[in-house]
Amino acid sequence: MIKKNKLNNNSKKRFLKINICFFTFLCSFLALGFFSPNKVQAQSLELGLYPPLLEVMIKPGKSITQVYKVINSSDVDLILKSKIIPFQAADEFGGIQLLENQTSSLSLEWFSFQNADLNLGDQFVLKAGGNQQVVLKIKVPENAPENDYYLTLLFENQLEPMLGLSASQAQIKIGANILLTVSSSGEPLKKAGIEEFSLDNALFKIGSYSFIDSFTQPRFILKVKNLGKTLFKPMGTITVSGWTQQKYLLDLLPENIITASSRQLRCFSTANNQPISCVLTPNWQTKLLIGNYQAQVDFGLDKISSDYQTKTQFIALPFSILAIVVFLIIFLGLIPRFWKK
Amino acid sequence: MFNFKSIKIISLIFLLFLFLSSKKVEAASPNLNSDNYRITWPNLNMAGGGSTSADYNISITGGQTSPGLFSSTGFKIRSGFQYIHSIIPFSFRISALSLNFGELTTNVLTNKKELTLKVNSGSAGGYQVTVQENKALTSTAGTTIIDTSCDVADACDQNDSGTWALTTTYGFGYTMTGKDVPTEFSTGKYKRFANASNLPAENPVKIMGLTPAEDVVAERNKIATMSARINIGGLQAAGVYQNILTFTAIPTF
Repeated sequence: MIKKNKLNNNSKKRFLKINICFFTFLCSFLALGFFSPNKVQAQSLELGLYPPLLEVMIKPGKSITQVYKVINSSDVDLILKSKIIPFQAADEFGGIQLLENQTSSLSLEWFSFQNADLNLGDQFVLKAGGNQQVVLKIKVPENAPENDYYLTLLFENQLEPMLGLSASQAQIKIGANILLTVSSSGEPLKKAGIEEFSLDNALFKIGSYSFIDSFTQPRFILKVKNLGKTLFKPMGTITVSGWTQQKYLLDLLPENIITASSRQLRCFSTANNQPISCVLTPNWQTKLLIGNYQAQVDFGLDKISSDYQTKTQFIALPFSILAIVVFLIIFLGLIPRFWKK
Repeated sequence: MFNFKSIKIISLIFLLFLFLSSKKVEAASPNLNSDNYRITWPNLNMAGGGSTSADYNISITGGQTSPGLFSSTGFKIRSGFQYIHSIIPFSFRISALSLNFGELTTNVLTNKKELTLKVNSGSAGGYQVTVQENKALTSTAGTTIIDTSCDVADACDQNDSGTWALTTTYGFGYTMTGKDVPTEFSTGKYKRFANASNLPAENPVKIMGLTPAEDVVAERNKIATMSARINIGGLQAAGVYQNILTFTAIPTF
């Protein structure tokens, strides 16, 4: 009986030890996971802004408002400041260059916030995980020159001084673009010029004909210049037609081309509802192109039409197969000579 | 002392507490996340396209329950990209508040710090991220760590990349890897930061962004990594060196 009790006591003690070990291990593991110093230190900065683009055509003397939502998804509260900066096109792809030195521009006085407790240019605290709605008012005076004005609404975090650390502090700015057209008539002059319509992946060119490998999907470059007094969106198609009368269509993406700038246009996939490069998407017909083809671009400004047109011709031949055949002929021709020697 | 039951009960209470506290954090977050998307306005995209009246046109790419669009006669307004029916905000994230280099070793290429940049261009047609420093790394005593010019054989500046492979090449510079990074960084080349305090001031330089030349689509979670490097000689004055790097993310128009 005593022996049995001793045995029970021993096994209880062993279980107790195992349980204590397990409990200690579990606590340490969880504590490491939850209170790891890396998690505390790895604070990130994240800002979101909606909508990313505002296009307005407005008569002098009128005003409009637009609500913007700024979201702080950072791990920390941020002190933010807003400002409006004019911009110009930086490249042919819709990139912009902020003109920070032109902050004295007249048009900047047309902008203000309608919020009761926040003015444009004021600092405000945005809690981590929080958001702030700002109501931007654009009031164009009666005597405003009829022009296009391109501006960016920027939100930037304000930095606090770092003490005793050799470091580069990170400041984050996020912007949304405003394309403002001031016009009394509502129909300012729109004029475009086609700068380039060509095949990007042609192997070579003879005269007006580009040559492409049959197994390559033709990729088109279309550059359009704005020669008018206001921005526009080209709307239309690229039609590729072959010698067998088959036709392939690519829809142009209606992207803004601002005044005094050019833009390389993209196409639009209706199937995926996404912008794509202007490439003939592979299907059983376009996998292998042979013969003479004509690509024609037709577009209108802010409407689908054929107001602007241009063509390019290309010939598709199986150059890759020809290259393999030539290589094999040369190789097979050389082997007997080599053996004879 | 403790018996089995009490230990088990304590363990269970502890686990329950941890479980509940972790759930609480999750519930406090207003965001919906997965590897492929992040919705910070958790509502549905109901609208898209345009509507008109005799006096004015309104065209929104929207769906938010209260887009806040105010209208009157005498204007046309479009908000958002007409071809992308999305209400996902354009957002930009950087992984740290600062690049803390700590104590620097002389004549080595290993004084490096990384920063991860993430862009959600879901509701925008395209985007660009630029970077600019306010000044060269400067100590409280006013001495500076120069911006690198890379190796003499393949020099670099803020616009053109170059090779930085020699431990005798000094300065502060960076390279980029990841999505939508300019191709000039593809071979591990470096640039120096555009410096706003130089005369004339150097414009911010693009470090991420879309070009139609690539097969691009408006995507979420575009991630790139900036690797910044400092190399100093033995004669560099001791001190605390600091500057500010400004990262600007803007959609294309």
